[in-house]
Amino acid sequence: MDKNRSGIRIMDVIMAVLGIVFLLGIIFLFGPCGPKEDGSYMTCHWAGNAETGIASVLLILSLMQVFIKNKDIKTGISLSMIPVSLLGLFIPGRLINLCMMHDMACHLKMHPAVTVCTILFAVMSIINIVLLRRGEKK
Amino acid sequence: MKINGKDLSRTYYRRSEGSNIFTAVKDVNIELSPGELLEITGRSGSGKSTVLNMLAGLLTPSSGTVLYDDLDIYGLEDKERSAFRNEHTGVIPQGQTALSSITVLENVLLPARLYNREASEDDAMELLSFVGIEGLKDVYPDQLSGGEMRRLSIARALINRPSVLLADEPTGDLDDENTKVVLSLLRNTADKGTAVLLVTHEEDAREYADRVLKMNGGILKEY
Amino acid sequence: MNFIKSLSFKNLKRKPGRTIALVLLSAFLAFSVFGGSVVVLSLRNGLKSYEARLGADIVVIPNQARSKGTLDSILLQGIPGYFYMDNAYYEKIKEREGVDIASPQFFLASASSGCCSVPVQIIGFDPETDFSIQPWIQESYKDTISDNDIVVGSNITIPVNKKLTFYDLECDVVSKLSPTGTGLDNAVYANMDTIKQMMQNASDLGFDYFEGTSPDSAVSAVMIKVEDGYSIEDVNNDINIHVRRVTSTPARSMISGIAGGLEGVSGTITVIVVLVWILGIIILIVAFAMISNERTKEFAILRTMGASRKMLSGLLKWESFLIGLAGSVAGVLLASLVIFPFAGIIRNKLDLPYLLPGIGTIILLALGAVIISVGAGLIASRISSSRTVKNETGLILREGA
Repeated sequence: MDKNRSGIRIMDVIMAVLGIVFLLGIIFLFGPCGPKEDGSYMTCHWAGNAETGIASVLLILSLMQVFIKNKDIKTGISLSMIPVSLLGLFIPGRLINLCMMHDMACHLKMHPAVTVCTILFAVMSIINIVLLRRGEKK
Repeated sequence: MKINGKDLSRTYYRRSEGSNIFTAVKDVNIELSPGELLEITGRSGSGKSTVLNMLAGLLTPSSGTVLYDDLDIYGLEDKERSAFRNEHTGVIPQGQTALSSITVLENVLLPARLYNREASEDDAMELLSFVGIEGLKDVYPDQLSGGEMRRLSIARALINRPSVLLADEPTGDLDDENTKVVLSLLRNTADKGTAVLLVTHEEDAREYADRVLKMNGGILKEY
Repeated sequence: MNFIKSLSFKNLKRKPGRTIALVLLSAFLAFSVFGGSVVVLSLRNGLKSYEARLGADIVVIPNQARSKGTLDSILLQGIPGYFYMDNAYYEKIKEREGVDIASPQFFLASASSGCCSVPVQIIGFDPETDFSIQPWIQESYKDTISDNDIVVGSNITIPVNKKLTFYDLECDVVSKLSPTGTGLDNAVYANMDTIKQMMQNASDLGFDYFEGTSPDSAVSAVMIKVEDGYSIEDVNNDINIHVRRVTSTPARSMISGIAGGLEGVSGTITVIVVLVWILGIIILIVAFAMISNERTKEFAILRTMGASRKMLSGLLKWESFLIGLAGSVAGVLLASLVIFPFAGIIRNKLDLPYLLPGIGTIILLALGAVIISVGAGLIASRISSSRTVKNETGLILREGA
């Protein structure tokens, strides 16, 4: 195989799995608070929507990384995942407010889970870039 | 540097139907001089490797002494003996003897790096050329053939310019061509002034040796 | 020795599967000890904090509040609640012998409807007699709490100088309190006049909280400091006997109940961590022994080149040090990803006061976890490899042929 191409790498698969966990998690496990009695939504609902979008993008990027063989393109994809992950990290509580009380679901479950997923994505992207470029150097 | 093995014996304890004491080497006297290629031949299990290992300082004799010039190497502590071996003795052990986690070049430099000796990469490359595998310097040992591995062992044993080279079955499982190459290299090394001991059951080795001794049942005799 | 260090790193790099397995094991050990110690310490901190926030020697509440466990729900879980007795009881209690200071407190739960910004616990205090809430407020706000000023607990996300409305009374948020790890972090604090106004407004709005008692003369709890020379039990019993329809409890028995729960949880965590470690160290010793055994030929080759036994020990030591260091740092980082972001859920599930230690303590715990994990690896490696290093090289070469 051409030195600038690679098959399916373990790291790519791990990141894709993380993307699936993040997206399914935000939808089913650690989403924001539900609607109020009158059917209206609290501010954290919109943070949850934004995180669903971020998780979808990260999953699509990681799947592209699995199936695209060109190492330079893989590197570019990993690079792009870093700012996307950081955006996901700063949405809850900073860019979009969460509920006022810290014992609500958005604080207890969504915020910490999003923090962990986005930090893991950012760190794994950096490691992936180092691994891809090290193969290049040799 | 001259090596003198005086009244060397080595016994082992093992469970057997007869006696529990097995004498691998009995009262061996041996001298190895600079510029000489001395061959010890004999069947498998005759005790030749045991003699080599005792001369190398790697196997404590049950009795007898090993003198390098006038120095009794078994009178030294392990640390001093090891440092002495590193400086003065090159050993080519039996079998596949490279470290798999470092490249060919790094393997050759290993004895020098252990004690921070002066050998440079150029010195290592010179030795790799001498043994004919300079193109494989960045390869890992698991990608080498048997012959290439042996040549690596020879280069590694010579990096510290030892006064003594001890080779244990260096042509073990090699084909004829590689056997000739290895024996020529050893002859070449002896011609440069190194004292070379070759332990082998290879019949072709005789034409490269200055003297041949035979080991039989732990006893060493002229061939 | 630098060469030995670089050789040990190369050895690990060249056998990634083996290295990763050992690193993961070391990570697991560090994860368990760091995670376990942070949780146990957080429980102890929470209990200390709970004790400090109660502040009183004796707590007196109406009988129905005791039977429903409302006070515990408020203090521990932060579930908004309310209960009232007439002021006359307060007057009786403060006259009892041995009572040094008796300070009334007022609990009100804000509603989920339009008259209130957010459903929270509101706690009022009498500035003239209070001895537990004001000192705590003083830690973050030096001025007096004026009428219509409120101070919010650490679990309420609202900036200072914003306004919140409770029962149509608009209040200024003047400060945020430091965390306690208890349900009190979910509460809002106001002076007596402010909360009395809220209570009156609530009654006027039709909220039937007061069960016949006039909001103006309703008191929720009385916090008591016992006079020097009097025993807390005696004063407590005296109140229970002579003041009807109230329950008086020494604060320390409220705490000891929780302390019992805490000891149970801490004990379980400690046992689990110890078991993990025993198993982990056994596995490490076996793993290192198998690896050493596999490498007898490699060590013999090094010996032929003049490597001393000390150098071989050094090589193994560096390998286990690098494995231990990488593993323990990874373990501490992974544990941090669990116990810090998810502290809220952990506290909810444990249902006990839970206050994370300060950053200095956390760093010390992390360092401690790294040191003992690395140490365990070094000891395991030393135990399992000592025989291999001491082998007579000539025998290995002979056998290995």
